[in-house]
Amino acid sequence: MNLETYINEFSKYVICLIMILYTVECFCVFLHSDEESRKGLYFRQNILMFAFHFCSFMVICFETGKVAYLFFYAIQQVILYMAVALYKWLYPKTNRLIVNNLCMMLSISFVFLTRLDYSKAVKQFIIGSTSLVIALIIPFFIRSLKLLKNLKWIYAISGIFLLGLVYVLGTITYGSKISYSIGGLSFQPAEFVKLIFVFFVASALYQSSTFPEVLFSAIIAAAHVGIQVLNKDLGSALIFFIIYLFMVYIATKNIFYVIAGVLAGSGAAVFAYKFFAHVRVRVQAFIDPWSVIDSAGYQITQSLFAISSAGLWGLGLFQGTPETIPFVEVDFIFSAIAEEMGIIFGICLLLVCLSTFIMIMKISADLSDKFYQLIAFGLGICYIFQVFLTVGGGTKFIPLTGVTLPLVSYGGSSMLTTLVMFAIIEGLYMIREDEELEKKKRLELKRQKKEKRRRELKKRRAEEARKEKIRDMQSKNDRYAYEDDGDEIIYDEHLEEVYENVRYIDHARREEKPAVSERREDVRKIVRTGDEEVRRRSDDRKKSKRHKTEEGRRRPEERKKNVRHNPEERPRREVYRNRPDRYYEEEYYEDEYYDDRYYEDEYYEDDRYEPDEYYDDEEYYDNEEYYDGPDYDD
Amino acid sequence: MKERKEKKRKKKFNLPIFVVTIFFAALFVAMSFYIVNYSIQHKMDLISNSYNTRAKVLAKKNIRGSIFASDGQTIVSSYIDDDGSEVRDYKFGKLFSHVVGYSINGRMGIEDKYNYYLINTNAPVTVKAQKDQKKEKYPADDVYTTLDVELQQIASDALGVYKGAVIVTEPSTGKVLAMVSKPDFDPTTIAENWDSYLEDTESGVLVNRATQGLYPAGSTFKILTSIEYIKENPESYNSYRYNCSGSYKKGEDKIKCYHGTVHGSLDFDMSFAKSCNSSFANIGMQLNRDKFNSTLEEMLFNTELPTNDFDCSVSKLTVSDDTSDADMMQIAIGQGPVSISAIHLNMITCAIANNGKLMKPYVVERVANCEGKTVKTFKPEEYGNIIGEDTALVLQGLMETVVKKGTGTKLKNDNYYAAGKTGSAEYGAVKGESHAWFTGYAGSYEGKEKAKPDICLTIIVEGAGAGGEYAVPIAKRIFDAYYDVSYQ
Repeated sequence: MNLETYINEFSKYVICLIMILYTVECFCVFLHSDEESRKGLYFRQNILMFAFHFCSFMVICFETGKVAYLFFYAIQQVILYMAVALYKWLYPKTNRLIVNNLCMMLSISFVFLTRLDYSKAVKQFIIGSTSLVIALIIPFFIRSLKLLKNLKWIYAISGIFLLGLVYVLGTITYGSKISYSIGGLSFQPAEFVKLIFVFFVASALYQSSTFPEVLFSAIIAAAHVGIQVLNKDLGSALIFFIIYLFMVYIATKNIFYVIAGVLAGSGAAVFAYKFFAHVRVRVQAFIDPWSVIDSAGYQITQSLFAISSAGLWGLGLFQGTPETIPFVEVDFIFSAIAEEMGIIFGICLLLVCLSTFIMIMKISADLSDKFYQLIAFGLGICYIFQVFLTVGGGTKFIPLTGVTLPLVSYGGSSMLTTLVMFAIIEGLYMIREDEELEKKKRLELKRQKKEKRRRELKKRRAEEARKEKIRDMQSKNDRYAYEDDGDEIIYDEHLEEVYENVRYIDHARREEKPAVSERREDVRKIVRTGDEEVRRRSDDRKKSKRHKTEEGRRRPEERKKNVRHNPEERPRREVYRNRPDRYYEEEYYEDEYYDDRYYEDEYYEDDRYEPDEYYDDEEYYDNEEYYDGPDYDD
Repeated sequence: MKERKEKKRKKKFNLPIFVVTIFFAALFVAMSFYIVNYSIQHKMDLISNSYNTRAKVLAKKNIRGSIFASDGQTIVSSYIDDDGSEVRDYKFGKLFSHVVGYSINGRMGIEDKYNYYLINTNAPVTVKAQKDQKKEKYPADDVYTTLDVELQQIASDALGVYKGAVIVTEPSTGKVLAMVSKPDFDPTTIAENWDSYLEDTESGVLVNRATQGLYPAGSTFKILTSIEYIKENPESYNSYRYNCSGSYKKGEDKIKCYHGTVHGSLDFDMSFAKSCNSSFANIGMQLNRDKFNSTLEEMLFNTELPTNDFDCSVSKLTVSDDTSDADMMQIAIGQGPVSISAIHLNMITCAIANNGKLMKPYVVERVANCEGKTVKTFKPEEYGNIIGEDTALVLQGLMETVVKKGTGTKLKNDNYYAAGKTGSAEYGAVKGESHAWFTGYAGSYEGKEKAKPDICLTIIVEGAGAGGEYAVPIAKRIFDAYYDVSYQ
């Protein structure tokens, strides 16, 4: 049957194309600002995932001729789709890009482990499914456990203890102490400690990140790194170091800590190079693997053979010989993928990892609680740096350190840790959503309060205005009485001029924005005494020839001039009226009608020129003056 | 609306996180570029590594491709014999032994350089499907060379039993038309004779003398001495005069003309044509040694030769102020510390024939799949001008004088014009033992005008004697064959 030949020949292009489309969708996600409008993208991603999985297993079945793989495929497909659907159902507010990428990488992992070693694939699948279930509960816990913030000593001690335990009890595998067995299952505590370590750094630095806190956390971090170097697990030692370095940078926003850290790290690296033979061997194998091709360079050169033979479209599943690379399913899965699926597919895989990372960073930046922000950030760094170490190491971009490719490589501890990690990030994402919801609620409350206050103010002002009018009338009457000592009103040119001046001054003063009370006091004083100053100003005024009519002040055009923003913006009101947050617009436009009060209201005194302030909810809310709740931003 | 959104984004903006994101994104982009670049760059060389099992896997899947001559004749192909094992069939036996090489017990020549193509297949899927149905191997891609079977045969015959090498190239493109190295071997039986070849270190059967053999250049080096002299004296070289009395003396050091011939009064042209050692020793002493050294560097001494298709030895010669007068006199006539490979001398000659522009020599012009559909084409590549055009024209004149009235008069004929330089490179302790050199080119006449040179050849005959006597006749046979003279 030569159908097989055709499938062989074309499947690699199809698979590669699916992966390219998937990657493009990954980055298109960032073009949309909210999850609602990304729905279509996510759905397409799920379809592409299904297509990739289906095509790959079809090729595997044709190549091996084993029907058992079909059943394996069906179960995988069910589990993966259950994961996608359950997440959607249990946590409607999760970030689905991360869930999708996670499932995509799991399916790539299952495909490749099936191709490389069926029994390992089954094992990985069982662990993966269990981990997915565990990961399903975690967002709920993260959301409800406020306790997590205050456990820094527990994190520090348990981290060092677990790593120390490996040093004492661990079994040596291929020169490194990385695991110990409990009841037949072997664990790699370093994987879990990475998570604990991120929590430790976050809890140590979220409140304040002055020098003492940084020093304290640096000592604990150094202990982690040191034990890992002694365990000869250079990869995770480096990961601890990098996580710490970047988290301190985010916590302190101080680049000097990073510079100091890099210097200390380079010093430590030189020290390690001089005193540890295994470090020297690694460096030698990086600089010239061909000279030690029989020993230390064997793995990396085999990996390079695999990558160089790939070509852009790959050799096709089962067409290459990735199994010649020792531990291909753990350390060099990327090389195997690149060889059979092609360099393009490999690059796409990298980009998918990168898009996951960017999404995590976005979540982190959007979190206003610093503790959660640091955790999201630290986990993101932990993830992307692992990807970088394993892919860079396997392609001789950087020295080889023997780290797994998260979610794709074979390894239970790594898979569980990464799934938990993503689950935590999903939890944090929901916290962010909660935060936003709460913010909106508080904002609404605030608005109602303000509305109330405003109404009261309005009432009070109306009252005052009425009283003022009466007083004015009285004093006018007094004056007329004084001038005329009778009911007859005699037109006095001089006095009329004074009144006019008063109105003018009143207007001029208002432009200079003095408080109303002060202004009125002045006016009264001037009226009573008929001050010389008034005359002088009146002369000035005559020159300017403005506001001669008695109605001047009350004229609507005049009032319009007093509105301190561009009158052309007025039509916007119509647009905003239909928006859910029109409250703020209305409030804002109301200001125009009550301009007198507007100028007198202390609150507005400073912000008068930035009317935007009144309807930009975040801006408004983040203004300390308006915010009563606890402040995390500092 | 837009303003508002922008403002919103600005508010959420966290610079440190942004910086870190950009940092990792840049890192990943750099890594991706590196991976793509690495895999493309090392596609061919890594597959030939003996630690790489992929070549063996491919060999099991595909029948090794054939190698064709420029006229389409098969030089070598593979077939499956009755036992089901793959047999490599070299149709011309020993004829292409070095240039095409072998692929058993390691690899050599084209079999080595183009191994990647010879084991990979670009066969159309329909062919693959057919082969799958018959449970046969896929046909791998074939390599089409620039080699001319007739010229190769004539060159090989002309060299006869002598050890030595012949290279015939096309100066305007760099195509190698023939490449013979003797003693040769039969690639078909190389596995059986392997041990004897290895034991016989003296004759060096497996060495491709055309590219890997380093020889004293002898009088052919006078080309380089002349180039330098013309460069230094572009106006006055024509007024050069020397009276040869059979030897040149400076201090205690003495240079003798070949067989002690007394050439008498010579100008620059005749010094070159008659290959007068005394005169050239005199010229050599007048050269600026630093400038000479930089000219030599330009002429590719002490560097890898720019060619992808051959493993070449590096010609070695350094001249500096520390070089003694005795050495300088020797160098000027191509003796002493001068060592050059035949292909290098051929490239220099080609550059002269091509008005100074050197084309990279190549022997494979395309790779095609089993149905003849081109997979990859190798176009002539220009290396650059290693000699100024004016100097090259002068050199062309000098080399034509050699044929007209110098040591190469045997090449004079009416059918084509030839130019060149002979050489007799002394080697070893015994006086009079010398390698015969000839390097030159030939072109046809267009009416009375000389057309551009068509072919360029370099011949070295080990231990034969004078170049004019042993190498020039070989050149004549090849030129005659090329211009079909003998068959008229």
